[in-house]
Amino acid sequence: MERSDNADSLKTGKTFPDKCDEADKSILYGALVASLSDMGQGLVIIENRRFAYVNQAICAMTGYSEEELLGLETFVPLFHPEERQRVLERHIRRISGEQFDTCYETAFLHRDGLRRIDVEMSVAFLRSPNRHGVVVTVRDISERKQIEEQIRRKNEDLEQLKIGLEKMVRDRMSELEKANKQLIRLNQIKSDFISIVSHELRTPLTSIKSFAEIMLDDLGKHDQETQRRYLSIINSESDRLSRLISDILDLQKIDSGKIDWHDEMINVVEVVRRAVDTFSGAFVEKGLSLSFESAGDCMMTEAAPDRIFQVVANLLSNGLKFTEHGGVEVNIRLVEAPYEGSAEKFIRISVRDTGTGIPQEELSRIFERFYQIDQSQGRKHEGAGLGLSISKDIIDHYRGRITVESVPGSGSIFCVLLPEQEQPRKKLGEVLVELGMLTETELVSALEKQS
Amino acid sequence: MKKKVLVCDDEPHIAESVAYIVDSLGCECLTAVNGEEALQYARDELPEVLVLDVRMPKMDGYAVCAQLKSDVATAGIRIIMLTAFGQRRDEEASEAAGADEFMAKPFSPRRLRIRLGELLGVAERIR
Repeated sequence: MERSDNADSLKTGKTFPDKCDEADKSILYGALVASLSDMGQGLVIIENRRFAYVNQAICAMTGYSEEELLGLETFVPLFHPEERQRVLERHIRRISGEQFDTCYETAFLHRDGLRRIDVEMSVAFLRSPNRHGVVVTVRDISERKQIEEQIRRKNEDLEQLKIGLEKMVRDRMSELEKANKQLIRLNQIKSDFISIVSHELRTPLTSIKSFAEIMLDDLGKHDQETQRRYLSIINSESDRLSRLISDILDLQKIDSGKIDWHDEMINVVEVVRRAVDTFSGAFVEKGLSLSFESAGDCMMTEAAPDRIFQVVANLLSNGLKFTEHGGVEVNIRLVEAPYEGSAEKFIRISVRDTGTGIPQEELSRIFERFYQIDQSQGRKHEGAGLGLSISKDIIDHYRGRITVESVPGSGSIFCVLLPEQEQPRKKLGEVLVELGMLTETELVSALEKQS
Repeated sequence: MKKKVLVCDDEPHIAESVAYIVDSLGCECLTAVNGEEALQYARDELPEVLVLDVRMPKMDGYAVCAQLKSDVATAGIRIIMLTAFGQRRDEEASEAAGADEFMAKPFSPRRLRIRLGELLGVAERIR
């Protein structure tokens, strides 16, 4: 009965002390004080701006002894330096009568002067006729703060990660967009190319088809001279068509990287001389001069001789095509660092003609595919405008350069630069084999033994 | 007086084959080698028919066709477009420019002779 009464009064917290007599109160007080000093939370009672009571927990929390705390003249050293200003302001506001939370967070400085102890304080006021003070409970929330701080840092890291990821996604998107644009552009180039190729293929085919059909339909109505003329048109247009097809295949091979270059050490002087010889007859036929001059007999580079021949032949064929009076001069010499940033020695092949020349505004475009100079007389010259484009691809492949200068009306000069490479010195073994002093098998086995 | 046909193509061999067809129909053949020249000759000579290539230096065939068709003085010239761009959209472009006929290259001279004959009102001579 008594117990249940007590339990009831504990619940209400009102009547319990009143029901005790003085002796009970004294025992209860002792028990309360003992439990206060043992409780996990710090507890202090402040009277007249000094500690009147401190428990064990607050001592353990702050590192001060009970005597030290009770002897403190001011509480300032107890607070962490970062908190002191706020505590002071709070105090000033309180004595000026302002209302504020009785529960708040702040931080202590451990007696060692280093450790920060985050705490939550609850303040209760003691007001009786003869005693004035405050009871403060102090809970160490350092661990919670640390966890909060960790969470905050983790959140920050996550935020950074998110920002980084978003940036990555944006960068990737813009890369993809760029790649997509590039693909669309390439696709357009490809479809333009196909359209132009089909046009260029149909053109010679049209002449072939027309004259073949005309000859078939009007069989026997033409004299021999006319027949010869029509057949020779069919013949030359067929040649044009097959040249065009091999040019297109060349371009395709170069583009797809499938070309078999067959590179070897070649003497460029010889290759150019061979090309000049091939064309000499055609120049004589048109009443034009063709001269060849070289500053040396031997200038070596590593390249496919057929491809270099193709480039020179193309330049000579253009010179022949666009020159009516005068002729073409071919010149070879070695030059050092012919353009800014080039350190090597280059072989310079120049082909100068005294032809119609190329207007300034067209110079930059003549290496484009299917580009043909807009002839003032309107007649197109034979060819699809692929020769210079292929030549440029070939020379680019060999880390060379092809350039053009021109004065309309007086002629053009095309220059090809190819890096010069000295012939690698032959190894002694190879020389011995060449001289017949050693067989190939002997050389191989000797080299194997050596290694 | 012989009827006049203007042939405009920058490919000399193609122009020659068209000229052969024109001759075979008993007409006078004039030739131009670019768009500007074709426009000039068409205005000066007022041919019955113009056989016009599309891709040419200076001015393309569509532009020549559109200009001639939009001018009352030359709108009566019948125009046959010849092009090596043999796609549907090229036929549409030539229709849009007001051409009377569209033929893709390579064309059949036999068919060209028939169409030319029809446009000229010349009955094709039976061989």
